[in-house]
Order: sequence, then structure tokens, then C-alpha cells
Amino acid sequence: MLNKLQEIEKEALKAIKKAGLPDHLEQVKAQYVGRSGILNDIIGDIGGLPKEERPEVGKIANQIKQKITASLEIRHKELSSSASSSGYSQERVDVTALLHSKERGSIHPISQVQAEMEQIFLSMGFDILDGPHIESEFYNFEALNIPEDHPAREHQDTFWLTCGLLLRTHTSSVQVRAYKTSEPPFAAVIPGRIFRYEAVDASHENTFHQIEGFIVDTDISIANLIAVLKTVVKEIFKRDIKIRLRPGYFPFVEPGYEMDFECLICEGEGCSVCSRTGWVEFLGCGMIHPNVLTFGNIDPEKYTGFAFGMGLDRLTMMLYKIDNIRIFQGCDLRVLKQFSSPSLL
Amino acid sequence: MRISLNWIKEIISLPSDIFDTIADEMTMRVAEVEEVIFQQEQYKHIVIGRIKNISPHQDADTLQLVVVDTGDADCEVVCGAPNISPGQTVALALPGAVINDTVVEETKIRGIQSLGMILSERELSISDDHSGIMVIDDSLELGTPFAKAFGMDDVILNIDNHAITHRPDLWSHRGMARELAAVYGIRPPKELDVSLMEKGELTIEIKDQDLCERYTGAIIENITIEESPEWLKKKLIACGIRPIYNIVDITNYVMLEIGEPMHAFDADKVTDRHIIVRRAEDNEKIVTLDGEKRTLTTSDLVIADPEKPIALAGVMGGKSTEITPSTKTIILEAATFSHVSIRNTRRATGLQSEATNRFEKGLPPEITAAAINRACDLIKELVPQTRITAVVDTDYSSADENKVVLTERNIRRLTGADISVEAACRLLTSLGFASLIEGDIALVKVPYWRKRDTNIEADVIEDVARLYGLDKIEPVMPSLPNDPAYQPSMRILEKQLRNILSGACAHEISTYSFSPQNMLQHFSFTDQDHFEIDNPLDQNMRKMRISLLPGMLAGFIKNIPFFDKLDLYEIGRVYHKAPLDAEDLYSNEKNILSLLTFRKNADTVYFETRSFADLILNSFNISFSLIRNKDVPDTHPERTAVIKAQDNSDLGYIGELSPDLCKKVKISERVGVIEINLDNLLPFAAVPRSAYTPPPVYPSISREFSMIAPEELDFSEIHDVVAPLNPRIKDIFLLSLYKGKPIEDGKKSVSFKVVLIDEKKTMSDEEANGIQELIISECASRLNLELRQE
Repeated sequence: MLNKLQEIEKEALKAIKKAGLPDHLEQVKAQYVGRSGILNDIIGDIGGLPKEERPEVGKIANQIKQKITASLEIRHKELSSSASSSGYSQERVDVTALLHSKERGSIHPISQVQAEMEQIFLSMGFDILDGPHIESEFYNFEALNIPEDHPAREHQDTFWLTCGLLLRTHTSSVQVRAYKTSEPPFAAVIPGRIFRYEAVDASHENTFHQIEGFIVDTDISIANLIAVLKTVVKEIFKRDIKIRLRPGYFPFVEPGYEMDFECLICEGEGCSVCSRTGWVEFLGCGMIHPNVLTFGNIDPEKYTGFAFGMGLDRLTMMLYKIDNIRIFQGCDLRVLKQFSSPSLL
Repeated sequence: MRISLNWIKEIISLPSDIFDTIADEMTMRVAEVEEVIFQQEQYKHIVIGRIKNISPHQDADTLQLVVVDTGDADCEVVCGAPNISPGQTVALALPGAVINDTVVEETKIRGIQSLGMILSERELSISDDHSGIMVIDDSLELGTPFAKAFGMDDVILNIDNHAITHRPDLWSHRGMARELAAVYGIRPPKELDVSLMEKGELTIEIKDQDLCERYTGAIIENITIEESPEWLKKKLIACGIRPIYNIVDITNYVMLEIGEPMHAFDADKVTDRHIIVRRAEDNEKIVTLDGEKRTLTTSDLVIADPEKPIALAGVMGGKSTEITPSTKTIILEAATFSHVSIRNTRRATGLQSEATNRFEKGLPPEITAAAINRACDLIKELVPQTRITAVVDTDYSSADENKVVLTERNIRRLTGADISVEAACRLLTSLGFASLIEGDIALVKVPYWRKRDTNIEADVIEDVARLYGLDKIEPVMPSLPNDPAYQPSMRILEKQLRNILSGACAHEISTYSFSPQNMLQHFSFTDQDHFEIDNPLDQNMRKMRISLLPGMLAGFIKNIPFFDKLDLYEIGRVYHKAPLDAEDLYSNEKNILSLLTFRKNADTVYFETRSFADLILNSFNISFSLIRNKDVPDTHPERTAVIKAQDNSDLGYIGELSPDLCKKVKISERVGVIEINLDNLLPFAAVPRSAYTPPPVYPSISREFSMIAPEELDFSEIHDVVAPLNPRIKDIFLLSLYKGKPIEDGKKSVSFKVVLIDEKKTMSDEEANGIQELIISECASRLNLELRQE
């Protein structure tokens, strides 16, 4: 009887292997392990054996049944995953072909980086403010502690309108406008377009973009300034980056600083990107000059504040490794279409 | 500005182990160092040699083969200089030396091996002379490195000029030495002696005291004009100034040392030795040292004698009183000119110089005396037989002192660091400030050289913080206002529009806020509506835009050759000219969305364009109607509609650019255009939520209609007739428009579908048929439509 069982096992496994279509496999299954299959017949015969042999033979019969069932399953999977046997070969498509593309447009890189920066500052609790591009001399210069004969006016070559107004040379011009509207505390950023009288080449534009930021409250300090800038840089580059302040001169802040961050390429060792200094100049900042607060009707005895201004174009160039600032106003779709974006927040 | 550390070391005892850190320390505490130049590196692989013999180059007439003895070896080089002769001692660059940013290598010149290069003064950065090789003193030992032989062992810091805009005191070696002493905590330099012993006679008359506070002059007789000694020339070279002859070199030297630019006149050419400082007259003429004849205005300040102007004050001397090799007597000038006047004249003439750089910062009047004294001493030292016959001072400067109250509370409050008033005053003392401390308050007296930039407490705290060390201040996050951060709704709208349009395959571009004249001229805008730029960069960019279209069209045209379809949009500001108060400026600027569309060889541009408008407006659930309008400027009269909101306000328009305009700008295809006034859109877009409508309970019935209509009938007219006919009409939409056979000329076929739902019960076919008949009869009677016979 055992011999017979082993023979059935061999036959069954062979038949399973040979089955080339799911239907064939179903037949094999019915023939051997179905309700009225060969194995069940034999198991039914076990009752006719001597009492002491029954458990042993029963056990083996069951083992063989399990083995065949397992093989059936494996073979079933093999057959159903194989295309050749699915019967759908007529329906095969070129799965790599793109015929009806869902095209997506692009968002200007400056818009993208500006939106990203706005999101960072909003999440930190800064309001976003806006102001005019065409400015008065008062808000662009005088209120920022840059009187008529100040040398700093030269560093900011200005487009003047025939009516005596000017094109703002920085978004700092919105500072005093903002101060006049309410009482501190303030925390705000002003992103936007600015203008400088400058001939255009690969690294100079007459139209570019800036984010001015400031906080004014009763006891705002340099220590606060450093902490906020450190967080901003970390959020932009998504990792901790060393920053440093060093003396710099801007008439609307006192003390005034330049902020550098450690070069991302060489990590401070010095390379061509950072002119071998290990640091990349990033923005100008400082403690808001008391005269500026006063122009905004804020009592400088009671309140202090810091301000900073960063160039969005330079940041965008850094982030996308762009070496020619002219692409921003260049309208060349062959360039701009590369700047797809899932969506702005 | 270049600072020589050898020079600094003569003023203070700089520690010797600082060369690795000095640039960083300066950058972190004083002003940015852009570059550190080690002269020994600069002159590496350049040695002293002697020309042994010269033979002609077989293949080139202008070149010669020169054998140079470098002590232990002979070196053959090819040289083209006209002034070489055997026995000359020369500077020889060997392979590895860097000349004009190029590495010298062994090379073949016209087939002959050359092992180096004999250098000119220009190639050695010693002067501008490149007329021939530099011939050197014979006493030097052959093979000696050039840097060693000439003592070129200086280290030079190149300071960023912008970083010291507000610090006239830092435009000198003495000023920088004072800062370095404070940075390194070493003994500060001895103060300048600013007293003056007047003697002799020289008439100095300051007519415009607002432009010249002080003028100090000296007459020096019996001078000899000759070359300066090596030590002096070396310092000038290190600082990037070309040595010329002793008197000029000394005035430059004093400027570099003390910070006061000086000038020297040939005294015999100054009428009556009478110096007058006055505003120029309008149209007054002067020939300056560079030979240029310049026409002046009353905003220029001149130095004059009773007959003529003899110098453009602080900017450039005059040709008429120039020093020549035969000059015997000079008048030396050290004066304090108004920085505003100097800047105006410099801008008008373009004559920027080391002197104007300094004057424009506003120099302290105190230093004119020190400069005159120092220059006289140096002249006496260089030309011992000279006699100083007059020293005269005319001084209208005020002797006011700046005093600042410094409180410990404010030091801590502004820096956020734990700095006591005593510690602060110690740091300030090292910079020459004097202080009187009482409790936690100090009265700080500002030294005269810092009067210009130090007026308030924050100015003083700036010095305290940088000397204390900005890197020692621990960052502390401020507590920000508790209100939720605010974002202007226009900014949100702009971002939403970018997402909508770029999600629908349009591309954002950005153009200048100036309208390009070469495009603008083809549009129908009027000149008076534009703000005009007084100083445009180029005449094509003179007007501020009142529409995005001229600029966008210029960008659009550039892209046409490369694409079969284009959908470009811009979101930007326009600026309509109006008489404005400073406070109205912002509200006068309007935000516009414009889109330009093009499909190669397709007549469907209008409909492509319209679908963008629908997409935008539907995204915000804005109900709108399109009103045909023939009068939108610069658009196609038959293909343009104004977009009206529910309250009948204008949101903008959809259309095609006028064919005339396209022709003028040489576009042969149709261009679709949308302009949406975002300020008008904003109130509708800001409330995009409409009330929820449950799905219909009863099934709908649809009926399709195909009708023959007059060609000029717009679908909106059918819609307006059909919609109010029965409350069960829920939707009417266009299926197709067709013109051509078999439809007769002047007519078109319009197919549309009407969806009917009864909200109270299931509508029967009979009821639907009744409405259908009504629609057909009303369209026939009111719009002259006839049902199309299949």
C-alpha cells in the first residue's frame, strides 16, 4: 500500500509539472486530490488494513496529499503569472510609450523660491507684507537714515521717474510704512521686486527680488538676530549650517552686519565657489537704527528691533546652480519650462 | 584698499604669529579682507641675473638669444626687449614663476628653447613701465631671489572698500593699526600730533566755508625733484600706487599713512602765492593734470589764485601749476573739503582717485596739521637742503566733541550678551574712546577721528560688540507675536493662479516693469498714462508699463520659432500715472494676470484661450458672463469678449490680439490673449466656497437640439432665452458649432443639450416633450432658429 502511495505521489507531481494551462491543472487536482480523486479512494481503503498499520499509512497518505496540494498551488501561481498562458497576449501594449501626455506647465523659479521662503517665514510667525514698487524718496532713503548727501545713495544706483518719484532700490522701503500702521511687536517679511540702475550682464540685473525681514519688540537683541537667521538658513537648506556675523555697513541698521554661511560645497575648507574663504556671503542685517524707528513713530527708547535683507535671485541661482541671472527676465521657455513645480503652498 | 603689514609693523608691534589668522580677525571684527597677498609668493621663482652675452635669433629679427648668469648656472632665454645689453643686471623669471596670472614654463620661441623670461617693471608690478626690461643695481648678488634682494617680503591685506564707507579713519595705515592693536589687545599707536606751528607768509582765503572747513598750507623752497628712495617706493608699490618722483610720492605716502590726501603746486606759478578756495563760476574752464579741459559749474569747488583756478579741489590738480623737474619752490596743501562737493565733482568728471575715495567719507579737519607736518619732515629728510619758509592754517572747523551716554542696560539689551559697562569701556579705550563710569552708566567721549560715524549709543555698542566677539554671543530665539501670521490675500491668489495655470500646461514668465518702446509703439496706449524714467538704462526701456502685454509680447515672439504651441502667462504690477501722494502709491499699483496663447496653424486659438479663463474662474466658483466687445484696444474686434462678474463689474477680457498689431510685430499666426484684473477678481476669489447642493433625488432627462442659426448669433443668446423657460431646466450646454455645407451661407448649425430635472417627482416623457416643444418654439420665434432636418 505504501508503495502504491509513493507511486501516486510521483505520478501526481509529474502531472502537475506538465500542466501548461490553469485548466489542465484543475484536472490534475480533481484526479488526485479531489473529493473523488485517487488519494481519497486510497484513504478510504485504509480501514481495510490491519489495525496496527493504519496510523502509519494514514499519516503518510496525508503527508502526500499535503505535498501534492502545495505543488498544485505553486504551479498555479506560476501559470497565472505567466503572460503566455493568460490568453491576453493580443492585448499587449508598449508600456514605455507616452502618447497622451498630461503636460504640466512651469512656475517661474523666482516665484517658486519666493513662495518657499514665504512658507518658511509664515511658519516661524512672520507676517508677509507688501508695498509699492514706485516709491517716494522719503520711504526709500530718508526714512531709512540715508539723507540726501549720504554716500550710501551711490551704492544703490537709482532709477528716477520724471515726476520725482523713484523705483525702490530695496524692499526695506516698506519698513517705515509698516511701522506707521500699528504698534509693536512686529515680525514681518516683505518679498518683492526691486530695481537698480545697473547695466545687465551674466551677474547683474536692473530688476531683481529681495526679502526684507524685521522684528521689533521691547528687547530684541543681536542674540535674537543670530538665532532667527540660523533657523532660516537651516530651513532653506534643510540641515544645520554654521553661520557668522561680521561687521558690515548699512545706514538703516546700527550695528550693521553681513551674514555668511559655511560653504555648502567645501564645508568651510575653502573652494572656488566660496573664493577659498570657506564662507558664502548671504545677506545684510543689523539692529534697526533708532532714527528709522523714530521715522516710523516708534519710540527707540522703548523698542529695539533687527532687520535683514536677502537677495532672492542669488539664492535661486545658488539653489538651481544657475550661472546667468539674465534667464530670470529672459522669457526663454526652453529654459523656464525646466522649472516645473508640484504646487506652491 | 591695500594695507601693508610691514608698514603696520612700524606703527604697532604686531605679534609675529598672526599671519594665518589676521585676515579672519580683520573680517570678523573690523572690515572684510578680500584677499591676502604674500609678496614672497608673488615673486616666487624670480631671481637676480646678469646678461652674459646676446646673439641674434636665427628666425626672428625682433628677438634675441640671451644668456643670463644666475650665479651657479647660465640660463638661455629668448627676449624681445629693445633695451638689453651685456652686463646688465636683470630680474629673471624661471619656470614656475607667475607673471600676469600665467605660469612661466620652458618653452620654444620660434624654434629656440627659452628657459625663462627677463622682466619689465610692469611685469614685476613695480610700475606701469613696459618699454623694456627693468635694469637693476649691479651690486646685487647673482641668484638672489628678487623678493629678498628688493625686500619684497610684505604681506598685503586687500580691504573691501564698501565695508569702510562710514569709517574715514580706516582709510589709512595709522587707522588700521589702531584697530589691529585693539583686536590683538596690544599697545595702541601713539596719537598723532595735530598741533601746528605757524610761520612765514602765505595768503589762504576760504570764500566758501561750507565747502572747505580748513586749509593748511606750507611753502617749501630749494627743493630738487628726483626719484624717491627704495624704502618709500616699496611702500607705495605694496599699496598699489606707482612711484613717480619725490614730492608726489611723499604726498601719497602721507595720505596712505595718515589718511589725508595732499596736493603740491609749483609756487612760482601761483600768482602772488595767494590761495583762494571758492566755488567755480558757471562755465569756468580749467585744464587738469591729465590734459583735459574741463568746464565747471557752481557746484564744483576750486582752488584758485587771484587770476585763475589752479586745481579742482580734492579731485585733480591744474596743469598751469604742475610741478616739473625744474620746480624749485612748492606750496603744499592739506585741506578738509566737503564730502558732498567732492562727490558731485567726482561724479560730474568721472575722476575717481585714492584722494576722492577718502574725501568722500568726510575727513576730520584735525589731521590737516599732522599731514603738513609729516610731509615737511619727509621732504626735509629726503632733500636736506630744502627750507620750509611758511606754514599757514585757515581753520573754520568746529571743535565740538561727541559725547555719548552708554548704559549697561542698553549694552545687554541690544547685544543680548552679558557685557558689563566696565568691560565695554575697556574695549572702547583700546580704540581711543575716553570714558567716565558712574555705576552702570558711562559717559563716553568720542575721539575726533570717529566723530563722523559715532553719534549715538548704538554706534558705540557696535564697537563694543565687534571687539567683544560676535561669535561669543549665544543665539536666543525671540518670542514672536502670538497672532497667527498674516499673508495678504493677493499673495495667496497669485500663488493659487500659478498652481492652476501651470497645472494646465501654461508657463510663467517674468518681464521688466518697463515697457519696451519697440513693442509699445504698436499698441494704442497714450504717452500721458505712463510714468517715465528720467535716467533710463536704454531708450527702449523708458516707460513704466501700464500693461503687461508689450513686454510679454516681446518675450512671446522670441519663443515662436521653437514651439508649435505656447501658453505663456505673467502675474505682475502695472503703474498708471497719476498725481500721487506718498501714501497712495501702493493702492495705485494694480495687479494683472495676462496670458498669451498660440497654436501653430490652428484657428481654435480663441477657444483654447477661453478655456483658460473658464478654468481660472471656475476654480474659484465665480459666475461670470462674456459680453462681446468690439472696442477693447489692440484686440480683434470680432473675437473679443469682456468678462463680467455677477455684479456686472469688469474682471478683464478674453480675445485675440488685433490682426493689425500682429502684422506690425511680424507674427503671422493668431495670438490669443487674456487680461484679468486681479484686484477686481480678488473679492470673488477670496470666498471660493459656495453652499452644498445635495445630489438630485429624481432622475434627469436630457434632450439634444440641432438648430440652424444666423451666423452672428452667439450661444449665450440661446442660453439666455432657454434658461428661464421652465424651472426644471437645470443645465444647457453647447455640443458643437458648424459652418459650411450643407448649411447655407450666413447660417450655422448649433447643437446643444438641455438637462431637465423635476425636484419633486420623476418627470414623465410627456412633460419633457412639452418643454422640448416650448424650447423649439421660443427659439424659433425669438431667435429665428429652425430645427435642423436630418
